[in-house]
Amino acid sequence: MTDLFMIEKLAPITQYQDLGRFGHLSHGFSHSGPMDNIAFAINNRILGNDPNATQIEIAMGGLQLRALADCTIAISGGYLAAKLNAQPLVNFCSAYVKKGDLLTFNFLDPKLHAGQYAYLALAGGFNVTPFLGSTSTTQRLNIFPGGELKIGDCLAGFPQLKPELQGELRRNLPYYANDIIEVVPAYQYSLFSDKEKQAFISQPFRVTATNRMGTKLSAQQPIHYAGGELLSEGIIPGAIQIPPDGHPIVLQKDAQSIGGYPKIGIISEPFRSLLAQVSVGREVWFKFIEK
Amino acid sequence: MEKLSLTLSVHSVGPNAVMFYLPEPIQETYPVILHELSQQLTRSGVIDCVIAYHSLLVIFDPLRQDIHQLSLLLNQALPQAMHRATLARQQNLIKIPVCYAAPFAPDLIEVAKQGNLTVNEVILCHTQKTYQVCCLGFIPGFAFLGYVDDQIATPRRAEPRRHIAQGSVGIAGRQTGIYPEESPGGWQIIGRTPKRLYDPAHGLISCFEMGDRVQFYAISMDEFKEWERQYQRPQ
Repeated sequence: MTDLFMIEKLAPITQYQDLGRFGHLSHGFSHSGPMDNIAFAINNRILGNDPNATQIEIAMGGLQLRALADCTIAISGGYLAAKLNAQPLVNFCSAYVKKGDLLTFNFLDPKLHAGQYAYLALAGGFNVTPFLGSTSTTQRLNIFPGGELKIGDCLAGFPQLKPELQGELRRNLPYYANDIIEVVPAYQYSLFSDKEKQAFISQPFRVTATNRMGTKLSAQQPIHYAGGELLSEGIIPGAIQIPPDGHPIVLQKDAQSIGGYPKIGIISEPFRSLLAQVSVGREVWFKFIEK
Repeated sequence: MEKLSLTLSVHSVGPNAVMFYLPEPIQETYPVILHELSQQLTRSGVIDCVIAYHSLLVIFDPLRQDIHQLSLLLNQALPQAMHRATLARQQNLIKIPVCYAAPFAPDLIEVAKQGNLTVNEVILCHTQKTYQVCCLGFIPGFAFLGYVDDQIATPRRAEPRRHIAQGSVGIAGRQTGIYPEESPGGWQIIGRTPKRLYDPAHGLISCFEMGDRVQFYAISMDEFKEWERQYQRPQ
């Protein structure tokens, strides 16, 4: 185990993630894990890693790393114009890094509609001591396996040069400009009136705020629930809560484990990942699919 | 044995999750029944469970398990879980020291006013009853305890506070609970415990399990400080 990179500049989010922390949701530990499961999975696959190997999640860009040893990396997810010594890197591909190289991620250009969370993977995975079986960070709960990353910190792993480089096929790449989000009817779906269900699928919703806990959306015509007061119950990432103001909140990876708002349905993992990559100000449409 | 007729209703929650509900109104046996059922599920290899009041959310791997299999398992386990729940009075009783002194209890007077009580009567009322863990997990270490007597039941504050100190003991409606860490929140704060409920650096994840019984007892400011000193002393 060797220090492979030193952090010279941080992105607004620069944190370790594996697939998530499971089995402790009942005690309030969010699953966490990557906001974009698709990009995360591709990164580990093209490096031949275990699917759960730890990567760095980078939000909005601005990260700068100095290589301390030779290694093989891969980048995926939102397009942050990553460069190695000022040479552009191809997104969703692996690359060799030599000692002394400078790896930079630019700031996000929201006009590109090209995602906002990027992933840096290392052949063999970054070495982080897990907490409750996972290396995932949950900032909301002050859970930072491997420590809260700051400038001057080093990222450790095995220095290895893979015999060959790989990239993902174009047709398998997530399409971040997608604006139709599929929703599985679930939870209190049947308690919403037909008029409200219709309103939910017949107008665009604008993303007004988004972070690792949830994505807030607003519409011209708010959605109302007349089913009465609910007892708090278990909630999971992808669930679409309808608070009293009628503007939906889609739960994301660091969401809390219970909540009392009615939920009109759930977004399955691939579409939740796509929604997580949508920047504030963009619009999406919801579409119900059969169970 | 009048509760032998309990049945679980099943609701799909997407491709890899399912919700089981016990019938409303909530009964005192539910926390233990649901806890027993979740233990069974964990042994069967589900990914995760969340229990709350009368519901049990199960997250599973659809390649390994399905809703029918899980329903069957739970219906088979239900009679045993109900039987355990009737024996639950011998279960864990957790005693929590609370200092109700004014600096730790910004809403104590409000709660007293609501119930037409003196401050001392509120403290007596809060400490004489044994509560049950009905729900866990708004944040790690937090337990929703039910249920306080009507005379001290007080709605949440209209304006939540941005910071509530670690260990604060609050009331929200007929529930009471303790903030295990500093947090924003809207509960009416009536005291503070020096007992640590969540300290992951020292391996303390939670003091509570569903169905555990909890009782508060009053301590003075001096005793509170003594507790804190002892906790900080290296082992």
